[in-house]
Amino acid sequence: MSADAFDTLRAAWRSNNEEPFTISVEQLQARARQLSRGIHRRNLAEYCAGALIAAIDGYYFLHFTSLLARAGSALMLAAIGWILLHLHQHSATGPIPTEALQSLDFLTRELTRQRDLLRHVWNWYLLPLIPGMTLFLLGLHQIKQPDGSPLVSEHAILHTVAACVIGFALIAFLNNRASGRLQQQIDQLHSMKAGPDTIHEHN
Amino acid sequence: MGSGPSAQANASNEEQYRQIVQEFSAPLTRLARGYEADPELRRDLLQEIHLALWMSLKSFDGRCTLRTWVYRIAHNVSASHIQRRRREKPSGLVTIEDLDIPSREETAEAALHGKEVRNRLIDLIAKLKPLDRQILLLYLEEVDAATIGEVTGISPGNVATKLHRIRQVLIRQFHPGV
Repeated sequence: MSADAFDTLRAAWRSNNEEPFTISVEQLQARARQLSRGIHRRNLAEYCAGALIAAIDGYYFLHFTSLLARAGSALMLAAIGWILLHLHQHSATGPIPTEALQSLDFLTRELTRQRDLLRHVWNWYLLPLIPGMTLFLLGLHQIKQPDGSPLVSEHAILHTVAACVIGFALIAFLNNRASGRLQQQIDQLHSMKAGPDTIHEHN
Repeated sequence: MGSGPSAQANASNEEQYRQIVQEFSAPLTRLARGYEADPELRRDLLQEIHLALWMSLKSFDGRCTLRTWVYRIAHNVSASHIQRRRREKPSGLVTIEDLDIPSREETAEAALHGKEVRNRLIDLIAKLKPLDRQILLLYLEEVDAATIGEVTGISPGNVATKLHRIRQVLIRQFHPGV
């Protein structure tokens, strides 16, 4: 295949008769405002979700008189606040990337962000919930019903703890596996900068 | 009113944006075709690309050419688009090295019919992962290897290797007459 033949192929590609897309500056300004409103709405939705959780947790705080249950509620509220804050800070940088990063850097940054969210799931999602949940359950166990039995039995606590352990372990396992796959893709992207002998599969 | 530094900057950005439209609207339309087959979604993608370019011009400092800047933004927006689409509808994308293209048996005339060539190229592009897709699309736009390196951040050696592989794939795809 000669150089001319490659040129012919490229000319054929560029001979696409599709009408070139254009958009006026006024339309772009309108889209930018729309985008800004979209971000505002997303933030508002996150705050509303946080407020709803806080309201439910606040109800528990006021409803249960046990000090442990109250402390557990307060800790869970703090943990949920921390999780929402973390998600807000580490979610996608924005709906549209407007930085002129080189593609390798852009893809690496996106993959690294996703990897870190998955890899550190214990730090920002699972561990912060444990103290609050534990205290809350113990607090409920302390509260006695009119017949003298605890509001939440030891069996129920054990079942809840077992379900949490299994659930948390499963989340951690799946996230760890997914973050490993992302790390492989990141390594492969890094290798693209290194030299021609190190090309591997990349994202 | 309207004559301060901010207004001047806006006017300059608008001027640059008009330059981009004049020079790149056709290549960007083709680029979007390489990333999105669905016409409606492609229109959305093109709007996003133009919006990102328009919003990014404030930070354009001339450290690279406008062409490199435009392609970086356009490909990054498109790569994000692919990522979003893959989350909605997972599909297996491959590298140019892993692409398995059977040799074509048609004659050169048939293979080189313009529309057929474009359709085959689009099929080929759609199978590729974002970075390889970028390299092929830039190659098809006759962007030189050095600029491909600037846009993508890939080392010159790796760009050369990728381009070599792309040519091999094109030979197999459009074999035997071209």
